[in-house]
Amino acid sequence: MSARENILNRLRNGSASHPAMHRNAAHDACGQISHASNVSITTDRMRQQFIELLRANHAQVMETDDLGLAESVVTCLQELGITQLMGSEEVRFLLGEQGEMPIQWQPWPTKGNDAEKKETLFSRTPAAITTATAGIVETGSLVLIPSATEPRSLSLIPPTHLVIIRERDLYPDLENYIAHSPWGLSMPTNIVLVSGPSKTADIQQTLAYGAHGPSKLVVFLVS
Amino acid sequence: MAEAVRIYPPKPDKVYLFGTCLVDSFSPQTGLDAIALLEHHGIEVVFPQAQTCCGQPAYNSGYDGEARAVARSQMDLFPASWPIVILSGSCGGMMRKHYPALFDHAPEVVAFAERVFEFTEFLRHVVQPTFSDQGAATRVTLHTSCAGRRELGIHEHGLALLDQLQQVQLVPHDYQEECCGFGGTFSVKHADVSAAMAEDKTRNLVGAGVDEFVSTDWGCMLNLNTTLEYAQQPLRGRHLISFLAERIGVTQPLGKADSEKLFAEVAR
Amino acid sequence: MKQQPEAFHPNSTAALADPVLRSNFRGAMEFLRNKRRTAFAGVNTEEGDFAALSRRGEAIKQRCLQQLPELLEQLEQNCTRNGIQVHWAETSQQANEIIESLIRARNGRKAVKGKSMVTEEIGLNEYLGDRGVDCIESDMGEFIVQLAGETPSHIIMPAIHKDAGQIASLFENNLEDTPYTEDVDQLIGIGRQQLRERFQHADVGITGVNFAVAETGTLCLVENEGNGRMCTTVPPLHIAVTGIEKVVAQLSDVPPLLSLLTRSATGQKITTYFNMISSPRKPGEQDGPEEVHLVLLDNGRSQAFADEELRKTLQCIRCGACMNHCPVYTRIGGHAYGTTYPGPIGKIVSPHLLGLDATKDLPTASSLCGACEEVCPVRIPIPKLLQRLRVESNHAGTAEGIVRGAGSGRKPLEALVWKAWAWACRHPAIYHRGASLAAHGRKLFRFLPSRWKTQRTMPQPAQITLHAALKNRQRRSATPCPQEKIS
Repeated sequence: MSARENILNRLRNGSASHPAMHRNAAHDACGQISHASNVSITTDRMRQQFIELLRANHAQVMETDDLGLAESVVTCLQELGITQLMGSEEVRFLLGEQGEMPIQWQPWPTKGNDAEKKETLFSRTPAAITTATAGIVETGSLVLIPSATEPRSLSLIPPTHLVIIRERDLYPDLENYIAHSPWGLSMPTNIVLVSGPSKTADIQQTLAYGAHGPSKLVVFLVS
Repeated sequence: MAEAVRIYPPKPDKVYLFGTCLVDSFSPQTGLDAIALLEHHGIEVVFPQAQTCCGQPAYNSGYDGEARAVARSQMDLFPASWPIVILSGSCGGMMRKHYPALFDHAPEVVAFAERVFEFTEFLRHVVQPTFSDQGAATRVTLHTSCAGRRELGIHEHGLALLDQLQQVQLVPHDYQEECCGFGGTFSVKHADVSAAMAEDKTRNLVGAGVDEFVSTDWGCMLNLNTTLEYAQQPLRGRHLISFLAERIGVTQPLGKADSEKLFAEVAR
Repeated sequence: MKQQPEAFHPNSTAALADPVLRSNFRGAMEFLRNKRRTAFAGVNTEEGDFAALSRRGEAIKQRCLQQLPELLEQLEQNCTRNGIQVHWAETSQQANEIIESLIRARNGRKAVKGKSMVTEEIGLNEYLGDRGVDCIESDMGEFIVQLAGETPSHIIMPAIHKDAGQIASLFENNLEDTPYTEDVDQLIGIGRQQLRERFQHADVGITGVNFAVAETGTLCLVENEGNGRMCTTVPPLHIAVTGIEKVVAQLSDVPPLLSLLTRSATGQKITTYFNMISSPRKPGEQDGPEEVHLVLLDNGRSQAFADEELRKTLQCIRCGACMNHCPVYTRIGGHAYGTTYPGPIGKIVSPHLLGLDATKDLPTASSLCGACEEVCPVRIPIPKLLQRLRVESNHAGTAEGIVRGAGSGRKPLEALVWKAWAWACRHPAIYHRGASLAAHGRKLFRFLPSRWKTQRTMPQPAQITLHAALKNRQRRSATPCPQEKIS
């Protein structure tokens, strides 16, 4: 018999020896913390909490609107001394609407094999910008759902990561967001919650930023 | 884990006393003071002479069968419906929490466990005394046993009782919630680890700068007092009951007469 | 990895004698306890966040365990549908063989590993290393530990036993062109530089799993550093390894468990990264692994599952709070246990993984103080399970055939002593005569040989027992007080 059959048989024998308890998720709601139901309006308090938590986790947060977004991005990059930015065509278009930007736009390396793309990302990409699908207020988290146009590496490999999130996409907590998840049972390849720049406290419990992922996270919260 | 809410009965006329094996052998004074305190508040105390040990040492060592046999023999000694007051948090935990588990939650065992009260819990919530402190000004710190703190959730009771004594300054010590390292046979099977825990605990007790420490469990206190003695520290602990009895002036110290009788008895 | 739980006694004695180790652990545990306390000091419910959340966590884990075989099949079905290939391993050996063959199939030679206790459990690094696959740990703590040729001493903070100075020397002596520095930012910078090069050129990324969601076929990974994302994004092959108990029924089961995990482990509301991986790279996508594999490992877990009480062991979400609060772990550290999982959870898990014969000293190494149970986010009754394992160790009886190595801790003399003791307790006349004799000969007690006396004096009985004192006073007193007869 295969390992699979052996394991499942042992578990089934184990299950059989005990009467079934409840099998319904609704039953273990005892002690459930009441969560606000879908909040379609972002309150000031939610926005404030979201910003505070991100800042507490060493993310930089810029509050802006559609008209001021491009300028905010440019200002931020200039302050960081960064002259080139990688991102999708969509984001480039979004930022370009307000005129020419004094930044060298770096498109995703479509040419070359994976090894060459990795070399570009690891060695020649100082910063990248992506959008966030949603924000989780309770934990100050950005929900990133990478796609063909915004690949996973964009928010991971370059040392500086810029994120655009719209205020209307804030959800009170992860449970609430999952309950409203647009993907149904067919999950995207990868969803990642990001709550600050990469960090570690593995040496003598001392917090240090920029362990493996971006050491700098800048969030543009668009009203 | 401690139960959330316990409903307490009104003050009874009579209670049973379960002295525990450690009080019996190492501190009979604790037992006498417990009786004096209860009688002082108008409660008659019945002490079944056939009682021995709650069975916890065997239970904790993984000898369930032996523990069960001892438990059954002890339960038989408390037939009337009076509360059973017990002079230790860990023995209290054994009788309240583990007796029902040992007997598959048989109704009569559950009913027995319901009647068991650790002494400070009984004093505070059932007797509800008002103390008038007759002692001199002193500083003490309280060590609560882990069983008392976590199994029964009674660590607040000792504090509340001590708080009534006007001349007593209750001082906290560092790492109050941490185990003293006793743990029954653990202190022999893993003597090094146990001793390291006792060393840290006694350092924290000494660090509190108190005249003495009090506790509600003789297991912890034997461990701590012998550690202090080994380290040649003058600080000692005694049972909270004896401390209370002395402060309100009801203690009846063991005298020479008690021991003389013993020699006669042993000689017989 | 060498598992040496048999050496618990000498190891713990040695650890107690090491003041640097003790102070490193005391400090670190203090730090983690405070972080956790703050994280649960919320105001969401009247009884506090922790009580409510942990009840819910327990209920979710118990419900999922109740349907474990069905959920594993569902997980397999949905993962397969998503393009994740599922493999089953009964033992460490089988798991290692599966992983090696997957790497061989792509001619892989360089592996990067995310932090994963289950791959420590199966000894993957050594296995692959012996077969020519270079497996580098990428979690900073694990990287340090691997460089030092050690194993993790804590399941969340692997290098917690080392201070910055020790790590500075380690880097200076083992990494090229690395000067001595105790500056933590610089040390992390050195690690980052070393490992980014590894991520870029790795043939395979290997990780654990925190939650595997059956209904969607999703693997969840919790981390702060980004190395988990690197391992699951950059190399062309991703192999995830998990114990079978990590499966949950649905996505909505994840948020409460995630919240309990991060708050309990490091006092964070959430970690920097929370990954949900549901498939390999899809057509049109620009990056991500071409292949994703999931290895489901039993390795003794189905043994714990077979018993209703011991099954609670499998509720564990590996947060490490029990070790942070354990007075034994705090003093001896993780290595003394000689097992992959140290501390209270290790004492109840390891007997199933390694057998009670090898681990019989672990269940007894506890004062049963209950600090672990108090902080457990899924309410595992650890002291009760320790007591149960002591029973199993003493008797080959109660759950025959369930716990491997049951009865191996039985000592005939000890068993006889307890039998005699129980007999005496049930024969009060004998018991009290014995107690009176002990009181009489109390001065002799200090000469008793006992391990108790290493740092303690021997306690002496009082001059008279309570029984005798009460009997005497009753005889002397006119009023029968206290009386023995029930009126």
